[in-house]
Amino acid sequence: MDTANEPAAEEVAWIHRIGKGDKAALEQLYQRYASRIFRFVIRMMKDEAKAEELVNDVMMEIWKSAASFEGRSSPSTWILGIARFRTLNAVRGKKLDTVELSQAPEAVDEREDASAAKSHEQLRALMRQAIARLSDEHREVVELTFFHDCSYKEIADILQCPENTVKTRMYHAKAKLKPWLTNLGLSETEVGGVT
Amino acid sequence: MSEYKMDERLAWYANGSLDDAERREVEVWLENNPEAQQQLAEYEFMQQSVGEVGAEEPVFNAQAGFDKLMARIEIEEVANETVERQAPASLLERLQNWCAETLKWDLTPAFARVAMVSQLGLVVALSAVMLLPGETDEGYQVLSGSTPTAVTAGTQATIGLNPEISLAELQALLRAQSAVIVDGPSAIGTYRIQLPQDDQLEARLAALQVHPSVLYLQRTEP
Repeated sequence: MDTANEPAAEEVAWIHRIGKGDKAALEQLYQRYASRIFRFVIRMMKDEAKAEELVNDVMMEIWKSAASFEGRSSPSTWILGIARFRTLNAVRGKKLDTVELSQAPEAVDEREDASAAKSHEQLRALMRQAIARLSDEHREVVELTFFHDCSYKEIADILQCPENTVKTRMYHAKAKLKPWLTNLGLSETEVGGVT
Repeated sequence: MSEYKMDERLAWYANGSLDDAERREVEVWLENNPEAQQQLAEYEFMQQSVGEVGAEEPVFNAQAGFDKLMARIEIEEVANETVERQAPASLLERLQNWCAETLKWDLTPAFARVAMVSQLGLVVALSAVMLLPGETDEGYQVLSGSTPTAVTAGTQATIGLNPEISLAELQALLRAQSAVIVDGPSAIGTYRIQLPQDDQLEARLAALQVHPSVLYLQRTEP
């Protein structure tokens, strides 16, 4: 989310310039968003080449439709909404590269291994692996919240669902991650040390 | 505000996206609430984990990606220019182009444009009046069609047709054999046709006889 208004205003100005065919503005927007889009896509489909292609599909769509951007949502909401739509289209008919956490065969092993002492970096890597095993709809809420810093209202716009659905998905995602959070050493006494 | 409502906002308290009023409510709820603080710490750990790009994750090369995007845009632009160049201009566009190039339309004052358009309209109207054909015998004959020779002299036959035959098929059938309808339909739906009295007469009758739309054909004896 754009917590300050300045970046959003700057991005709106870029988008208006892009709508008039300004390639320099497109490059500025690209430099700011391409990596974010790539992260969003790669965590949904795990195909690096396809994810790179999708980043440019999204930016191409922005290039073509910037003139019609009315600013009803923030630029980040608009762009991530396009990215999500493109990604879902790309993987239509296929299962996204994920499994339900509760059905993951290696999940039990990892939970047992996690009790061993690990560095903070390793713990965070294990946490990412656990999040990667969430269902699509739970994982994308977690990603949009904690990687893209979106508000729950923006996530509702991007996912085109009610705000309460977003909150419920986060609640369930957290509930599914709870055993990992505990077994990764984040017990009530330890969590402060990790954070 | 219920505890459940507070709990479900905690993730967005952690990422700093709540508005001021929501944030203050959550902060009040967090005070002296160790369980809520534990929940917050777990969300913050999730945020740290998701927020960083792990060594195991591929890194996107933005400059190379942008270069590819530019190449793609240029290819599309060239393709679009080619299509536009090849597309035939409309009559109005061609007229506008002619006006712009020949008459220096853009440089012509507005009152002069009105006068020129008025004169052009007058010329077109007068030309149309002069060139339109008058009401002549030839025009009337074209509309009605010339009188076939078969009507004046020939052999007649009674013909029964398939009720499904279309007007176009009937016309084609009769024209192919130089036949014309001279009477009918009768009470039972037959027609009397007349064919030219020439050396092709028998062949014409035979062709009609075998035509799939002809159910009945009987030569009328003189």
